[in-house]
This record gives sequence, C-alpha cells and structure tokens, in this order.
Amino acid sequence: MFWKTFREKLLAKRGRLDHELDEELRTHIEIETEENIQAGMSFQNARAAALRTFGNLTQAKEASRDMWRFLPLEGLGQDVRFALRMLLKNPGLAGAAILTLALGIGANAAIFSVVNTVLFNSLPYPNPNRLVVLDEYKIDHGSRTVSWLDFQDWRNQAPAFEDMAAYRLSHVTLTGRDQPALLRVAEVSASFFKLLGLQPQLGRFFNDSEDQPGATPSVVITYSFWRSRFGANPHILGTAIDLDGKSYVVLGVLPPG
Amino acid sequence: MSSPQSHSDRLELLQGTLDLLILRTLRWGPAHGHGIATSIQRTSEDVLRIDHGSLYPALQRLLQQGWITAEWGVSTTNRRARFYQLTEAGRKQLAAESSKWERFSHAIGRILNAPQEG
Repeated sequence: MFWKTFREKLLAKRGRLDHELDEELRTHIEIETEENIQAGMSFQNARAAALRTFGNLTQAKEASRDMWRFLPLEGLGQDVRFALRMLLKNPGLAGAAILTLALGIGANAAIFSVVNTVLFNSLPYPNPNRLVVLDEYKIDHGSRTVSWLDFQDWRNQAPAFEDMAAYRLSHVTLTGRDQPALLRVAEVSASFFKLLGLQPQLGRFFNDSEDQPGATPSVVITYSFWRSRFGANPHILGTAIDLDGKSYVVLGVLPPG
Repeated sequence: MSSPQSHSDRLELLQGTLDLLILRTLRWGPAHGHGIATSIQRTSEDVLRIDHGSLYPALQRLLQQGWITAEWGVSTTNRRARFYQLTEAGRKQLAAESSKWERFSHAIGRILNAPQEG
C-alpha cells in the first residue's frame, strides 16, 4: 500500500520534472535559434547551430535527470526487483547461496558465543583476575589428579597464593526422594567457596573441620537445584539427602547463577 | 553565437568551475538557462565556451544543493522560461568558492611567473 502510493508519487514527480526539463530545453533552443536568425542565418542553419551547442541533447537530458536525488532510490528498487527475479529463475543457485550464507552466519554465531563466554566474559566471582587453576601434568600421560597430600603441601608451602582449594568433578545418584536422579557434583575442600568470594543464599558453607576425616558428610546445593527439587523450601537446612546411598547433611544453598 | 572567435582561442571550462560561474552570473539577478550561458560567454569576451548540454545538469545540481531556486516566468521575448535565482546559501557558497578560486589562480600565476633559479 505504502510502497504503491510512494511509487505513484515518485512517478508523478518524475513526470513533472521530465516535462519541465523538456520545456526548458526547448525554450533554450528556440531562443538560440532566434538569435542565430537575427545574426543572419537561415532558419534551418540557425536551428542546426542551436542544436549543435548542446552536443548530444539526449545525453544532456539524462545527465540532468541524474541530478534528481530520488533516482538512486529508484535504481535501488530496480536492482532489488531484478535480483529477486534472477533468484527465482535460478532456484538451485539461489538455494546454494542462501545455504552458504546461513551456514556461514551460523558458524560465526556459534564460534562467537563460545569465544564470548571463554575469552570476553570474566568469571562471575569477585576478583576473577586473581583466580588461577593449578594442575599436575605428567609429560606422557597428560593431566592427572593431584593427590590430597600433595595439595596439602602446596597449600602450606606455596606463599605466592592467598589460599588454595581443591575440587573434583563427578556424578552421583540422588535417591530416597521422589524420582532418583543423576546429579553432577563437585567434591571440594572446605575453603573452596570462601576462596571464590561467594556468600551463601541460605545457611552456610563448609568450615575448616569439615574436610577432615571423620567429619559429618555434608553438601551445599545450588540455587536452581534447591528451587526445582525442594521447591525453595527454607527448612531444607539440616535435613539429609542420600547420594550414592550415603547420607549427607544439607548445610547451605549457593546464590543464583 | 555572435562572435567570430576562432575555435582554438576558446577554452574548455575546468572541471567544477561551471557551478561557480553560474552562481556568479546569478548575482546580477534571476536569469534563465540560455541567459546564463550567453552572459558567461559575453562576460568572458567569448573566451569561455559553455557546453549548453552541461549547463542544465549543473543547474539541477545547484537546485539540489539548495544554492539556487527555480521559477517559471516570462522572458523578454515573451517566452515561458524557467528563471533561476540565488538563495542565501548560494551567496555564501559563491563567496567561499570565489576566494578559493582566487587563491588557486594566484598560486598558479606565481608558479608560472616565478623568476628562473640560479
């Protein structure tokens, strides 16, 4: 609708301008002819001379039209329509081109989202620039687990670090309530959350005695797990949950995120 | 064309100078296309040859820039013609372009007339 009236207006304006230009040039040639006649030329010679001063009349008209500003827009419209026609004419080529673009854009988006998380977004903890991961490598075997005793030595004897905490990722099975579920967990040493600078949403984190042998097995659960599994029940603290058949006391809830 | 100047004595206009000449000519008051061309040729004592074909694109360009306005009127020979008139912006443009051109031609003149070195 809009395009149509817009187009009609353009065409009307264009027609008016065209008409004016024609009339203007005609007047010009008539005056020139008249002057030539007054200078003593025959009518035919006079008119021919007048036309000659113009060089190529059509070219002059076209050059004048090019100065009208809406023409580039008109050209754009023509180009778009031409492009669409050609695409419809060669659906195979069009499909290939669109597929190429889609894959290219998709791949870029995927790579960017990875790069964005890994390289540009810092870790969601206070002072992320002061966090490092320590690991142990054996030249032939790659990464291996650091032993608990080695960790104790590192923590006590490496003064370059403010604090050190250990973690190990694993999976456990939650049983005893509703449906059993396989959970992703991390076994961490007592100072882990303190080192990251986190504050509990609810309850508390581990204290130093709780990673000693003989301590009560205890867990800290994530905010989302607390919401989805326990309906954000504030009385969850102190209750026991069964992981891999062992009972653990819930000490606290992590903040969201 | 009234003068019998030989073709080789006439100069082609430098690129971009036509706009300046049109603006200068319109300083005298409104004029139609043919009047502008004749005026430039006469004032330059027939040295400058205006290609009438390039005159109208130049006028359209100046209209688009808002340096001149156009209005239909009646010529001295009682013909309907389009008269062009300088706007305030056109006056400013003319002043700026004139001084630019003067500095340019001065500089060229100085180089061409520089005493030989050594």
